[in-house]
Amino acid sequence: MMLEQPSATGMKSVDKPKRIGNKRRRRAFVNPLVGWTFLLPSIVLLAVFVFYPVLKTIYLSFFLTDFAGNPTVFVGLSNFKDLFTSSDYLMSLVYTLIFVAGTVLATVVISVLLALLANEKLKGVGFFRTVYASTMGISVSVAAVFWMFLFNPSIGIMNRFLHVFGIPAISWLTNPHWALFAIALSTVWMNIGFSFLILLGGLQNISPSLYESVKINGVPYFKQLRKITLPLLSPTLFFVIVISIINAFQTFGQVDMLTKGGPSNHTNLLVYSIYQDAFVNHQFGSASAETVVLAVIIFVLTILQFKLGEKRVHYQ
Amino acid sequence: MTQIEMKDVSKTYNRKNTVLEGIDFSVEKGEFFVLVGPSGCGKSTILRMIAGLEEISEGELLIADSLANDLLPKERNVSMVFQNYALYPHMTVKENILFGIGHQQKVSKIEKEERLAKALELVQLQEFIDRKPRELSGGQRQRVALARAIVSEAPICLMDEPLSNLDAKLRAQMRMEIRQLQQRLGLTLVYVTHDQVEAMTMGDRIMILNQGHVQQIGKPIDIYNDPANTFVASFIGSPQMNFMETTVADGYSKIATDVSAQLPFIPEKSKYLVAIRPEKLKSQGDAGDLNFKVYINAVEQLGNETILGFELNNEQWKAKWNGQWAIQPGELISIYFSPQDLYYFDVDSREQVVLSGGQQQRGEVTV
Repeated sequence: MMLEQPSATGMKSVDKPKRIGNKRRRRAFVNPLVGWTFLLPSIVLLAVFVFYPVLKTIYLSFFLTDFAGNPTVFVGLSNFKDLFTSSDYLMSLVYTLIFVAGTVLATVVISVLLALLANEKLKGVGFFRTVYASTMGISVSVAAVFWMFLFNPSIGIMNRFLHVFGIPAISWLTNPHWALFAIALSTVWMNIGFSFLILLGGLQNISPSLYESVKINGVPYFKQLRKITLPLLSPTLFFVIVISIINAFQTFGQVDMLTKGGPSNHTNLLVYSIYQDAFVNHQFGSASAETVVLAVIIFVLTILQFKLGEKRVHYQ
Repeated sequence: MTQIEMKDVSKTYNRKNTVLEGIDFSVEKGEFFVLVGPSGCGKSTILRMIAGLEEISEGELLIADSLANDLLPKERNVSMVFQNYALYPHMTVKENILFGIGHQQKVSKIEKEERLAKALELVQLQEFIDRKPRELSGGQRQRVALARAIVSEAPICLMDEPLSNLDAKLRAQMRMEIRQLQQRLGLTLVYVTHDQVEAMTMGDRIMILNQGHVQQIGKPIDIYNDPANTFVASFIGSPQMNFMETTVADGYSKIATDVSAQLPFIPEKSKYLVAIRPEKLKSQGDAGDLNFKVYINAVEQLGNETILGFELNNEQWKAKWNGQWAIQPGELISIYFSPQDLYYFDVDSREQVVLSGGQQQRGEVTV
């Protein structure tokens, strides 16, 4: 009895924390399970459509493939080496960079101007806001079809317009000097809607009292634009630029519809060249290598933008 | 000298929504003029019309005796302090203060620096010159906004509810600071607020607005003592004035059972609104005072004073007694008042019944 007594109490004192420990352990197991269950649908979708293709692409970029895209011979980095010695690929890279720089610059500048205009308190401004943003609602294929008509050398409105000023007709889509410009023009038109809408939202977020204060002080318009509007729009502007650059690098639809990469590869932008390598020439290995290079370019550029933007973007 | 004058000004939106009508007032040079009223009464619209941020639909606005209806905001020579301060979030305190005068070529660089130093000293912000607004407290931001108005050296300063974003303690302090600043700089200040305490304590004169119409203009104390109508009477003063409808017979108005006060005027109607300020309902009577007994239904202890609530003829009334009173709800209490302290308002027009021959001198009538 005397011996049992302390051991019994000892048992109790050990028992209690153990039960709490069990509970805690069970919770530690159940809680993440619940969490992961909620995440499961997105994880599955991302895994199937993003993670697996990314890994498979990287994997394939080290191989030669057969007609069906199965890896046959491991070639290490030779796919990449071939790319950077291929004049076609380098040309495509250069044209893509020119295309991206041109379209993004034009898109952002035009969108900012339109947004500034549409942000004024004018009669019927709602109509113009809708019109300016409307290109967002038109799919690339539809837009490409009517740009094809606009660019048509004999019946297209572009040439008729030139004709009015006495300028001879241009074969927009078949002249190597003009084809990339034509693609860029249609791309700018398609991208304006989105950037315009986002930028207009950014402008409307700026407190009207700031402008009223400026008005009372009589600060000139361009100083107001430079010192107040643009700095306060900078977070939105930054977002639009990053997104536009990524989008421009991924341009495909209009190239496929309007020029098919021609004339003589002058509009063979990176994504179109990837498509041709993979699905026309069945060179899945080198197409994968191109894809990896494109991803790295976009990745590096985006990081660079964030680094450069840090100082110039004024978050409130 | 008259600095700002509005003559029969009205404001209409879309040709049908009239928000202001027949606004007539003038502000003297160096005067602290307060526009006060409940939200939506049009007081901010008046201020914005003076600033030129809002168009004047009808009537005339004179600034320094010349017509200013069609002048651009920058030509009106005014400065403005906004409710949300309107500070530029990406600029430092210094840049914020100087931005408004930065483009003025007639002001030399040296003078700009001098004005900056003076303004910073006036608002006590010298140490914060390189901070961004987000690194400042609400009171400091408010001071930056004031400094911005000061450096412009405009003779007229407009303030749109500048203290409403501050907590009560800071508000009391800033009230005093703004008042001192205005006096030191000799500014003509038009100040918009919905807070009757701000209006009473700060203004040289106040204008009370309701639903787009001027209710009364005058010195705060005159308005308190002699409200033009029931709106002004209930808007100014806290707790608000007690009202009750009363029947009139034989020159007496009935206040409570067995309590009637002699009317100080010859009645034309059988009913009037009778009113009295809570602090005029006393615990003890003097000679000539009337009294009635009521059951107290609410007691608010404020430390320095006690507010007693009770019902009288189906109206909830309040009495404000100095000091601390150990009274419980449900107690029967005698309340004394002087018939001299009663106000009479017309039941229909809600105007105060004009007293004949100065029987009761409560100050000048200013409308």
